[in-house]
Amino acid sequence: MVNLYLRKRKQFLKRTILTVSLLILAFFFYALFRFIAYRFFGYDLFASDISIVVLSVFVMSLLYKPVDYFVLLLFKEVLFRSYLRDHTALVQLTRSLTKVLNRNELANLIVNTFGEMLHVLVASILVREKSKGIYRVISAFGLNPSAWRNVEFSPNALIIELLRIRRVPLEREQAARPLPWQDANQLRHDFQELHASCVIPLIFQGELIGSINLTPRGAAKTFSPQDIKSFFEFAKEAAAAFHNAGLFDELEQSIRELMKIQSEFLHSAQHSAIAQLATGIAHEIHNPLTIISGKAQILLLKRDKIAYDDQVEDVLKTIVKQTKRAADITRKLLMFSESHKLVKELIDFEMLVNDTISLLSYQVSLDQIQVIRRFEQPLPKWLGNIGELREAFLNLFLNAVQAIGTKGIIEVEARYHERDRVAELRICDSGPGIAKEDLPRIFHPFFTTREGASGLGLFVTQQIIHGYKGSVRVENRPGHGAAFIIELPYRAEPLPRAFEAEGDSADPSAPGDAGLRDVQQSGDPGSFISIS
Amino acid sequence: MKLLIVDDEVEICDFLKSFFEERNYEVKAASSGQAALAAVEHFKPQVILLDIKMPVMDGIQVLGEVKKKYPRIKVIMVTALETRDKIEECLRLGADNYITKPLSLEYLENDVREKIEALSGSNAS
Repeated sequence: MVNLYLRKRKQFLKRTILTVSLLILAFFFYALFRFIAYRFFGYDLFASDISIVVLSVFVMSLLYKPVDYFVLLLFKEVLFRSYLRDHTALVQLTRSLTKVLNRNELANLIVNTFGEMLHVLVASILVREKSKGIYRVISAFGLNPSAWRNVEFSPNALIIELLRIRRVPLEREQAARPLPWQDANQLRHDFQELHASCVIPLIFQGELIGSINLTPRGAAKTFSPQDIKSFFEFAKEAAAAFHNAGLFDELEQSIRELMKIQSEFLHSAQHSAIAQLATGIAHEIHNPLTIISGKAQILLLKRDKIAYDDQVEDVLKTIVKQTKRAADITRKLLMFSESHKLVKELIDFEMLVNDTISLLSYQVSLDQIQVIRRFEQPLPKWLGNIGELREAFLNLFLNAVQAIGTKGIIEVEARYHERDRVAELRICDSGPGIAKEDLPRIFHPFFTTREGASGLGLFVTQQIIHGYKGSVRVENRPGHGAAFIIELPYRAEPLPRAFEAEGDSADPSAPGDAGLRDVQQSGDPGSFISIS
Repeated sequence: MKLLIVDDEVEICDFLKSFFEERNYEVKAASSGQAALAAVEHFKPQVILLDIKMPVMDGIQVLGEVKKKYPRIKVIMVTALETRDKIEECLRLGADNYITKPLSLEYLENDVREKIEALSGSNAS
C-alpha cells in the first residue's frame, strides 16, 4: 500500500512540474514574442486575447513532448538515489550468496530480495537439473506456486538456446523483434510462461546453469539499461553460488545414499547372522526336544491302559508343554530374521505385538519392567510382511526397554481410527525421555546415545513404516519418558498368490498348535508377562 | 498301512517306529537319503515321514526323486525348522504336508491315517 501511495504522489508531482514548466515556458515565449514585436516592429502583437490563446496552445503542443522528456529525465535523476539504494541491496545480496549452500534456499533468498528490496513485480529463478537434463523454475516471487511449480524447459527450447548463444540478458520485445514471426511468437510464449519481460542468464565457466527472470513493477514495460547491467553483474556472482550449491547438493545426496547403503548392508548382515544362528540352534535343539517330547507323549497316550497317578500325568504334560515353549523361541528368532523376504499376508496386530513382547519377556522380567497392553477392539487384520512389521515394533519396544534400564513401565496401545482408516500404535516408556537436541536426529541412521549400539534400530523402523506409507514420530511425554507413535494406513487387498491357498499347511506353527491344544490348556507361553 | 520313516537321528526313528507299530502300521526306518530311496524301491510305502536336514543327501532331494518316480506316495516333511524358502520349495516339489519338531504325535498319527485313507479311497473308486 505504501508503495502505491508513493507512486501516485510521484505521478502527481511529475504532472505538476510538467504543467508548471509548460506555463513558465509559455509565459516566457509570450514575453519574448511580445518584446520582439514591440521593439523591432513597433507593433503590439498580443493586443487581442484570441492571439494569446492561439499562441499558448501552439507553444504548449510544440513543447509538450520535449518538456515531458526533460521532466522524466529529472525524475530519473531523482530516482538515481533509489538506484543507488538498489545497488547497495544487490551488493549486500551478493555478499550473502556465499553463505548459502542449499540451491533452493539460495533461489528463495534471491527472488525475495529482488521482490522486496528492488521492487520488481515478478522474480523467478530457472535452474538446470543435471540429472534430468532440463531447466526448471525452483523459486518465484510474486506468483502463485501453481503458476511456476511445473514450468520446465528442455535444453533446446528457444529461450534457453538464445541465452546460451548470446550470453547476455534478453528483453522480450528486443529479442523477439529480429526473429521470424514463428520464432518470435514462440519466444514471447516462453517469456509468458516465465511471467517475465527480462531474462538474465546465469553463466558459470561458459555453461548456462539457469536464469533470473524479472518483470518490473508499475507502468514501465522494461528495466533501464543501467538496471539490467547491474542485474547481469549480479547474475555472474549468483551463477558461481548456484554452481557451488549444486555441487554441495550432489555431495549431500551421495553421502545420504552411501549412508543408506551402508545401513542396509549392516542390517542385512545382521539378519543373515541371526538367520544362520536360528537355523543352527533349531537343528541342534529341536531334535533332542522332539525325542523328549515324543517319549513323554507316548507315555501320556498310554494312560488309557496304564493308570498313572495325577502327579505323573502332570509331569508328563509339563514336559510336553515346556519342550514346545523352548522350540517356540528358536522359531520366533527365525521368523524375525526373515523380514527381508517380502511375502505379504494378513496380520493380526495383537498377535504380532504379543509375539514380539514374549520374545523379550525374559529380559523384561529381569529388568523389573511392567508391560501394560491396551488393544481397542476392533482391530482389523492388516496386509503386510509380518517380519518387517514385527521388526519395526521390536525395535521400538527394545528402545523402550533400554531407555528404562531397570524398573519402569512400558505401555503399548493400539487402536484403529475407523474414519481415517488408520491404525495407531503407541509405545510409551517411563524412561528419562529424549534430549531436546536429539529429537530431530533420533531417526537418523547411525545416531545413538548408547554405547555399543548400531544406531540403526529406529532408522530401520522408520524405513519400514514409510514403506507402508505410514508415519512414525516421537514425542516426550509431559510427565516422564518418551512416546513413539506409529500410524499405518489400512490396507487389506486380497492376494492373488498360489502360496496363500496353501498357507495353512505352510505355516510351520499351525499343525503343532492344533495337536498340542489338549495338553496345553493353561495358556500359551506368550501371555505370561501380561503384567509381570 | 505301510510307513517309511526317514531321519538321521536314530532315536527319533526308533520312538516313531515303536509308536506307529503299536498302532498296527507296517514301519521301516531309514537314517539317510540313500537308504530311504532304497527302502522306497523294495518296501513301497504308502506314506513317508521325511526329515529335511540330513548329511550327503537331504530331504528335499529325496522328495524330488520319490515324487518323480512314485507320485502316488504321500510325503510328509518333518523337520526342525526351516526358512520360508525351504518350505515353499517342498510344497512346490509336491510335499503333502509340513510338520515341525517337536512333534505332536496325535496330530501326526491323524495326518498319516488321513493320507492312507485318501489313498485307499482313490484306489477303490
